[in-house]
Amino acid sequence: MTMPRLLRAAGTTILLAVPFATVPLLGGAAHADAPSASPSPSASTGSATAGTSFRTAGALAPGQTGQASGAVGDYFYWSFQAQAGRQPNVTATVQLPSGTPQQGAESWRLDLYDGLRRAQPCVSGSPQAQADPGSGSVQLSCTLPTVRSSAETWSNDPLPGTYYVRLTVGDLPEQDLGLPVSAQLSLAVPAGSDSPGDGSLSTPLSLPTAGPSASATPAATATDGDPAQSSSASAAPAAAGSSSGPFSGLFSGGNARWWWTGGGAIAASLAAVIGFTLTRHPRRWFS
Amino acid sequence: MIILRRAAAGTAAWLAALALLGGLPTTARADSTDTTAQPPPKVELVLDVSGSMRTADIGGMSRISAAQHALDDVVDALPDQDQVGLRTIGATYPGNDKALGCKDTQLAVPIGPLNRVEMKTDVATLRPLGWTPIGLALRAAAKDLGVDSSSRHIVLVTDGEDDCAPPDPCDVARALAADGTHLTVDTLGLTEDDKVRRQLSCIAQATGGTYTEVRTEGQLSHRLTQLVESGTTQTAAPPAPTTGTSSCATAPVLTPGVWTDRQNPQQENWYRVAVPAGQELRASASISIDRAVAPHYDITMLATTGDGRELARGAGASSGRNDVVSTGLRAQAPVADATTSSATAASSADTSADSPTSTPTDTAPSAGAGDGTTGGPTNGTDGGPTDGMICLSVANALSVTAVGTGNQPGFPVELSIDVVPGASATGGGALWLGSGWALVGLLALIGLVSGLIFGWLARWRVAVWRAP
Repeated sequence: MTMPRLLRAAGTTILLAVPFATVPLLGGAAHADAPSASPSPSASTGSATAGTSFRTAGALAPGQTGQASGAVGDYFYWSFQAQAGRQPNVTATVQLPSGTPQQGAESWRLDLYDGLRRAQPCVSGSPQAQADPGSGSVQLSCTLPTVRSSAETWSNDPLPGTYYVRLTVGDLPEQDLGLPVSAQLSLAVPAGSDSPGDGSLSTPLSLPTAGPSASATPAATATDGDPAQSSSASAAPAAAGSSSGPFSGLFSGGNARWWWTGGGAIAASLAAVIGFTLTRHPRRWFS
Repeated sequence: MIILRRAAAGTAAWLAALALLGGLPTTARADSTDTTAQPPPKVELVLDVSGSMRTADIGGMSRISAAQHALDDVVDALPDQDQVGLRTIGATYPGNDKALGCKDTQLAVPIGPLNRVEMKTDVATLRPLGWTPIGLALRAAAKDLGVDSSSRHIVLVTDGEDDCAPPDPCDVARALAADGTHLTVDTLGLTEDDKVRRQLSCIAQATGGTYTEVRTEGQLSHRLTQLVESGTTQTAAPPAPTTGTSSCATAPVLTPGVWTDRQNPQQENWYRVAVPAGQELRASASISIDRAVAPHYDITMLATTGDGRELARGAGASSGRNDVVSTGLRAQAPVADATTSSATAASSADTSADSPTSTPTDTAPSAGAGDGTTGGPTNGTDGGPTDGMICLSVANALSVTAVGTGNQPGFPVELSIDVVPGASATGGGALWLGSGWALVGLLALIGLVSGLIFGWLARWRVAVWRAP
């Protein structure tokens, strides 16, 4: 007799819990809307080849592997997009020349830059490593600070937009310069430990990569009625990969707070009803 | 009937003529967009055919036959429309006269759509003979590539030092890169000699190219194909040249896009960007380190208002071996002072009509969020040259270790400029609300406790009411 009652009570609780559990979940999933925005590994096109400068950097998607083959002394550049709340993590493996003997220790390093080419710190990982003669490969890694959703214009906080990775050798024996080398770079963008903060940027931090076009004068862009579209039109291809669905605006920035608070209110009222019912009909629950 | 028919025929003719006339301008426009399109990227291969290429040390092969095999592979691997040319060094003069030998460079295959048969025959007939005038060949190759706004690549395959210096090929390469737009020289060395390595890596560094030391024929053909392919696939519009000045008032006005300039060590250059009130300037500056410099160096970028008030500052510093040192900044356009706007309020009606910089402030979506001055930051007729502008200064602290001509030409500077709506237009919102699971939990707990309290209160009241 007690068991069915308990079961019924549990069932009622769950039924009551369903409506208020889904709303905050919706808000929660939207709060960090990046997982839906980041392309799945299966959708990516295999590997991204490294470029040789900021402007020609190879575009890397999360889950994709960056490939570089060149000579010791080359500068390998990749770029990737990061959204607010993410903590990008880059791991590189350098395969040192095998056929020809290495003359001395090479110091390889991984530099990270944001969309404005400002150097970024690594909060963990080993962005520099010595490759001693005889060691076949060297591993480097760097984890960026959690990307904030916005920051004051004078601050250096990491912001949503493009990030650049540069892999190169620092000090090296002269005889090693120009020897063949290859490297793999992998990128992960897990959710960060800190909250991304409030507010949002008007456009992600990505700069144009092509020369100025004749029509892109400031006056023209502002009178177009949609300055965000026109002024950063040249940056659009780079940023296009990061854009999420048409409803992403519903759940980001200040809108997310509405969802959270609304969900909290619903949770509170349902909990109040449950509490009230508990005191009025305790036998239904506990006998 | 006949008259009617003739009239109909006339109408038809008129309609046809009109359609033609109407059609002509559209076709003309289509043609013009084709011609203004980006010229295709060009690559010139420069092959050393000097006497030393006879040495057989590339896996038992002579250097020249390894290079010939590799070139054949490259020609086979490339698409038809690629613009590739070939120039030889030391292919015709076998003698000992240095004056003659040092002029020995020919354009074997002019740059144009790839002609496989011609390229292969020309490569097959090459016999190693003469001197190695690398500097001269680089100059000639740059001339072959022209100075249009496409990206230009030279791939130099050689086994020996320049034996015709001066001019020093490294200085030549740096001067050529400074001369036109976007010239890169990639070098491939077929020897392990220290002097050759130093010279070729210097040429590569001077133009932002790469240096590769090749030990096998497979490596050579793989690397050569890779370099030519990457050279022919760079389609982004190259940066536009500009020249910074020593003060903001006379500085060039930059529009969003990528710009390039040259800057001497320890120099400061000024630029201006028109940023309507409420909009945000995003700028980045990079200096390529194209020669040997002292181990520590930095770059500073400063955004100020026209009257010198600092808005933002970015600094980048680095040490050791590097290709570029860069920094960037964001700066919100200054909102016009209250005094300025009241002074210009009287004439705001006509200034907003004729002043190009004040018009955007009226139509910009963020204008309402600002102070809404109709005249904008300019007063049109007697306004200074820096009104409505943000001044950008780029300064470097690079020290060139070489004495003498080490400072010329200046270091290449790349400026990326973008103007976006200010963050205030869309940012923030509903900060008085909360977010997170802790908030939901707390609210639920409060709800539960208050429900329990009300429930007990109700039970107690019922009990009290029933008691009598």
